[in-house]
Amino acid sequence: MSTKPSQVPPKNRYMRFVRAACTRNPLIRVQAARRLKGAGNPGWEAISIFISKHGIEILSAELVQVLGRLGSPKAMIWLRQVHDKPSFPWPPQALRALAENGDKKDLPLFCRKLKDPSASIRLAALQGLAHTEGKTAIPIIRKFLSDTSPAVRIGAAKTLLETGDPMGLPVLVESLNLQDRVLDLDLAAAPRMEAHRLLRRYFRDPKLGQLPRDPQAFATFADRKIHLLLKRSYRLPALARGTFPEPKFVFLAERRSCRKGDFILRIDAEGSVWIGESPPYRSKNLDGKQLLHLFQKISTKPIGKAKKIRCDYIRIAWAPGKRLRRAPGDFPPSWAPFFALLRKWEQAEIAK
Amino acid sequence: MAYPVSMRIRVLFLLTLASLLFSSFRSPLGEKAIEVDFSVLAGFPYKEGMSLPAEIKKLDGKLVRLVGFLRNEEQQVACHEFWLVNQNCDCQGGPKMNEWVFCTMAGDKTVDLGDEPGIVVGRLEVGEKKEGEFVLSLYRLEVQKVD
Repeated sequence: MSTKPSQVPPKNRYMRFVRAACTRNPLIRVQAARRLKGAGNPGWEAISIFISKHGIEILSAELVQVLGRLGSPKAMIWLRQVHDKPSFPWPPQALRALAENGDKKDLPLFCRKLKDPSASIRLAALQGLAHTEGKTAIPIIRKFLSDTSPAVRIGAAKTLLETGDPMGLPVLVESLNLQDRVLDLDLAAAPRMEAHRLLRRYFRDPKLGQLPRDPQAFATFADRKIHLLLKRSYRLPALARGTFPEPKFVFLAERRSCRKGDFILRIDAEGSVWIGESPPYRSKNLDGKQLLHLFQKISTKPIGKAKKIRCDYIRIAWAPGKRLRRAPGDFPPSWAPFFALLRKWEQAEIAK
Repeated sequence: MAYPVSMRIRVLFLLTLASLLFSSFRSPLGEKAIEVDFSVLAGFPYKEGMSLPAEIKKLDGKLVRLVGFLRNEEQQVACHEFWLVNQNCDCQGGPKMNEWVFCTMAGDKTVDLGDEPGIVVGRLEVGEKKEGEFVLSLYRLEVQKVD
């Protein structure tokens, strides 16, 4: 007996976009996610079937991001439940998806996340606040122009620009000259490029003509323009200064994690320990030689194929050209005492 | 056997003509890479199927020098292929479609990826490469050198 067409359950027409939104090619992911915008509850149904088959770990950042634009209240409820789960791979993207929804119900969550130890979470929370509260959030966002992370300072300036407030422009201009070197690593390269990109976009105006291509000339041009624009309102937080006196660093241990927070530790040639970034501060209690002594006992030879790095990673650099960058938990057992000491130091710094 | 003088003159003339012709072609080693910024490659709102701006089309086939962040989602070392993008972290939103350059190392060369921006020199190919309804890449680079 053949099955009548009316007895066959209709295939969800969004399922192929959900699968494509989790594929390897990033451009396909972007396009497939875009096709899910406004899909409403049928779109969410396709996604939840996909999750039940494959688990949340397989979700892509693009798919999580588009949940905020599905137009499905069920998707929002799910995001609120899942974003803090240890196995959920994209916490900042989940926050941004909630932010795009612009629901005041999420305000307490965004306010709580503004104090998160992860720069990417603080950034997502700032955007959430701006989307939900609009111009009334400006005084709070301005405070983040003096955040300890240059990425958050620049992100706050960008968010202010999007709300029509130019007070973050001095931070962007100063970030063009940001310097932060450890061994042969330039930790300020990414924030400098981001500031450069944002300012070029801001100044893109046919009346201004061709913008200077030379980075130094562009920095001078931008500085002059911003001073003319803001006049006496020009304010640069002390922490946002681009250059600071820095010793010669000989070691870096860096963790960037949207779950455990960011922790950046460096050791100078004298054995002093410095915590944080741009600018770091010197810790009076910690002895860098103790950590270096532990490190010397570890074998840093190639340790097998690395796990895929998503958001979170740990980077260790101990000499020019000598460094390791891997996902957290992807180091062999011989590294355990080293990480145990780092954890102890991190907790001591937090407790201070 | 001695060749006649007229024959030798003819051969000499042909050799001279050939060397003049060859020297008029620019050697790939002598070609200077054009400095290209992502503000140019991504300086327009891209939609699938659109006709690209003339400024972009004229870069097709050119030797270019690009600065960006190198990404490969599967591995970090010994990468033969990678994407070049103009941002390090996607925590403020992923790159747009015209902010990705698909790079392939020439020959058997590979590169190790890091966190910092790299300078990539190679021959640029501009235009949509599609598979079914999706665009696989808009820009492709055959990489000669990574710094």
